[in-house]
Amino acid sequence: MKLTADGLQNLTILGIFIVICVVGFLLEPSLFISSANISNILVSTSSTIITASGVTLVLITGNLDLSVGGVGAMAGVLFGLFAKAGVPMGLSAVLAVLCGMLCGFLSGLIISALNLPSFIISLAFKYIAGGIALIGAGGAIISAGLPGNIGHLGRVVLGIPLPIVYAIVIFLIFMFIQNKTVFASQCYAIGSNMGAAKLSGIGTVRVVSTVFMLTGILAAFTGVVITARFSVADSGVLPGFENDCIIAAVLGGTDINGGRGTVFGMIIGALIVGVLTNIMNMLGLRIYTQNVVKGVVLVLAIVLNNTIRKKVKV
Amino acid sequence: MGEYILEMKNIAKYFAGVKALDDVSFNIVKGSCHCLVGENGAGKSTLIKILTGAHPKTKGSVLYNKKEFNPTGTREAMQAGIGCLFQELNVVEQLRVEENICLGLEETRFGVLRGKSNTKVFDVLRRIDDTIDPRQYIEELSVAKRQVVEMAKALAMDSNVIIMDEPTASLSEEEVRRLFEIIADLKKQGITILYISHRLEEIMKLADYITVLRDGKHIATRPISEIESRQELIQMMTGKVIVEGYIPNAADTSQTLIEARGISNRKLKKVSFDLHKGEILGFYGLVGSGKTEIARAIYGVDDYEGEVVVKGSLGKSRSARRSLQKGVALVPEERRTQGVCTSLSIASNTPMMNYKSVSEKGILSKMKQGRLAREYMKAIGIACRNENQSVMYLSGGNQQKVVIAKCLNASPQVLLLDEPTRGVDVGAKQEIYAIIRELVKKGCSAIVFSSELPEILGLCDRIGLLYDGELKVILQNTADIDSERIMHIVTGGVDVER
Repeated sequence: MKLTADGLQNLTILGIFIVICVVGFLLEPSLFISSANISNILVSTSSTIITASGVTLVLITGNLDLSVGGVGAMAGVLFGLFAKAGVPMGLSAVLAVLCGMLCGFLSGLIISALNLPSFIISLAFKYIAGGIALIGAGGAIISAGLPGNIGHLGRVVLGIPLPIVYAIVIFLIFMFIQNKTVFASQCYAIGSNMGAAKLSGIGTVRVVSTVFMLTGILAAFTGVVITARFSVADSGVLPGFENDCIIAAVLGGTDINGGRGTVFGMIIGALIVGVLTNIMNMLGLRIYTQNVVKGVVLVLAIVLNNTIRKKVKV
Repeated sequence: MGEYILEMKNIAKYFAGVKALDDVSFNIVKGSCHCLVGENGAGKSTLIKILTGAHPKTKGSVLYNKKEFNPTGTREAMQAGIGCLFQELNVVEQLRVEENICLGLEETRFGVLRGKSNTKVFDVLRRIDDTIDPRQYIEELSVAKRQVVEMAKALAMDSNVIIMDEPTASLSEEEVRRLFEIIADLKKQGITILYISHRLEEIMKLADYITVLRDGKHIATRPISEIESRQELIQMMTGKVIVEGYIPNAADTSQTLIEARGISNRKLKKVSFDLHKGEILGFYGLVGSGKTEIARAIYGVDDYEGEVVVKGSLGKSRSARRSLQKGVALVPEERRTQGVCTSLSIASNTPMMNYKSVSEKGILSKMKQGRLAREYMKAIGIACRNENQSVMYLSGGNQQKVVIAKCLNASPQVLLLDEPTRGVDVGAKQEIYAIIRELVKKGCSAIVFSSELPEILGLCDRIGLLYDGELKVILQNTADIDSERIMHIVTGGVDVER
C-alpha cells in the first residue's frame, strides 16, 4: 500500500492518541476503561466531531468559520423557543437547523461572491447568531415551559447515548464526502489555488456557499442536541466552540491555509483533546492547569505533524 | 585572451544521492560577458549558489583572482565582489530607491542610522540610468527599472563580477536593448558579467563566451565566434537534434471556429479576427500590448464590449465554465498562480476542467483519476515519479504539461495558450510545441499568445501583431517573413507596407 503524506500523518496522530489512551489506562486502570467513562468521552467529543466534520471542509477551501459557536447557541435557543411556543418538537428541531443553514449559507455567499475575508465575515455572523440566542433567552436560559419530549433527541437508546450515534453517522457521511466526491475535489482545488480553480471552471461561489451552509447545519444540529441533552436552552452554550473545531481539524493534519486535510484526521484530533481532558479531570487538575497542558500538547502535536510532512516528499 | 577572474576546478555538488554538479571545470575571462546555458536541472542555479556562497560545494575549488574562494555566506561573497541579480528581485517595495540601495550599507553609529546616505551610490545609479529619482518608491518602478536599482546596489558594493539570472524574463524589447547597453558599459569598466538565460537569440547577441551544462556535467565552453547556430547550442544543451522551423498546418479557411468583432475594454481597442479550423493563430506583441487581455476576453473571464462568437454556440461567455462548455480552454499566463494547484498531485490536477471524465453522478473514481493522469503522463511526456506526486516538485516545463493535460481533458475545439513556454527549458519547449502541433493535426485549433518571436514564427500559420491594445495587422507566416517589419509594427511604428 502506497504511503502518502496524509496517510503517514494520520498514522502519527493515531499513534499519539493510542499513547495518550495508554497513559490514561496506566494512571487509573479501572476508571479509565469503564464503559461509563468511555461513554462520557464520546458524548463530550460528539459536538466537536459533528460540527468539525463541516469545519474541516471549510478549512480545506482556505476559509475559516468562526461562527459555529454562535450558530449552535442560536439554534439551541430557537429550538427551545419554538417548542415552548407549541410547535411540535420534531418540527422545532428542523426549523432551528434551517436557521443555522441559512446563517451558514449567507456567510458563505458573502465571503465568496464579494471576495471578503472569511475571518471577519464569519466572526460577524458569530455575533449576529450569538446575539439572537441572547435575545431569545433573555440573556439567560430557557428551562420552564419546555415540552416533556424536549430531551427526546438526546436520550439513551439501548445503552448508547444518541449523540454518539449522530457523531458516528455524520462523520461517516463526511468522510465519504471528503474522500469520494467531486465536490470535495473542488474544495481542495479552491483551497490550494483559488485562481487556478476559477480558471478551470470550478464554481467557487457555489462550492464555498455550500461548504459554509453544511457547517451551519451541523453547528445548528449540535446546538439542538445540547438543548435536548440538558433539557435546557442555554444562550451561553458552546463558548469557544469554533476553537475546539479548528483545533481538532488542525491536530488532524488540516492545513489552516487550505488545500489539505482529512475528516478522519479531525476525528482523531477531537478524540485526543477529549481523552486528554478526561485524564486531566480524573487527575483532578484545575481548569487553569488543564488549559496550559492543552496548549502545550497542541503545539507539540502540530510541530510533530509538520516535521513528518516535510520528511515525506511525495 | 585576457586573464581569468574565476576558475572552476572539478566542482561537484551532491544532494542526498543526486549529483547536481559533477566534475565541472571551466574559466571565466575578466571583463567578458560569459553566458551559462542549460536545461532546467542542468545545474546552473546550483553553480551560481556555490559562487555566491549560498551552498557549500561538495568537491573541487573555485579560484577568484587566482586565490581559493570559499564564501560561507552570500554577504561574504558580496563583500568579496560577487554580486547577484536573481530572477525574483530582492528589492523592498515600500522603501525608496535610495533606501534600497543602501540596505546593508547604511551609515550607522553603534547600529543607529545616521542621516546621510552614501553619495557614491547615487553616482553609480545616475551613470546607469539618470531617469530614476532616488526619492521614488520602488513600488512605482517597472520591473526593468527595479533591476537597474539592484544593479546599482551590486555596483555600489564594488562588484567585480555581476551574475544575472534570467534578467530579461519580464522586460520589453526596448528594455532589453537598454540592459544590453548597460552590460556593454559595465564590461568597459572591467566588470565581468555571468549571464544565465533560456533566450538563445539574446545569448547569441550578448555573449563573448558560452558555457553549456547538461545534467550537472560541463559540456563545453567556447567563445561565441566558434558557435555556428542556435541549432548547435540546442543540440549541446539537450543532446538531441532539434528540427526547428515552421511547418504549415492544414488549415481550413472555409470553417471559422471563432469570430471576434470589436473587442474593446480598458486595454483593448476594437480587436477583430477570425480563427479557422485546423490552424494555429499567433498573437505577438511586447509586454503590455494586450495579449493576455485578448485571451481572457475570449475565455470570458474579463469584461469587454464587442462580440466573440464560438462556432456552434450562442451567447456571450461570461465565465470559464461557460467557455469550457463551448469548447474553449485556456492555458493561463502564470503557471503557479493560475495554472496548477501546486500542493495537489498530478492526478488531482488533471481532471479539474472536466470532472465528468473521472466521476459518475458526483462520485469520484480514484481509479479512473489515476488512469487518466497516467495516460496523459505517457501521451505528453510528463517526467515525474508517479501520478500521486505533488505538482510543486515538477520542473516548470512539466508543470506546464500538467496544465495542458488539464485543458486537453476538457476536449476543447480551441486551445488558447498564453505564454506557453515561459520559464520552460529548451527541451521541454520543443516537446510542448510538438504537443500543440499534434493537437492541431487532430482537428483542434490553437491561439498562441507570446512575447517570444521565434516561438511565434516556429508555430503559427497566421500572426496578429499587437501594439498598445490594438491589432495592427495579421500576417501570413512564410519562410521569408520580414522580422524587421514585425519589430517595427509592434514597437509602434507605422506600417508602410499595406
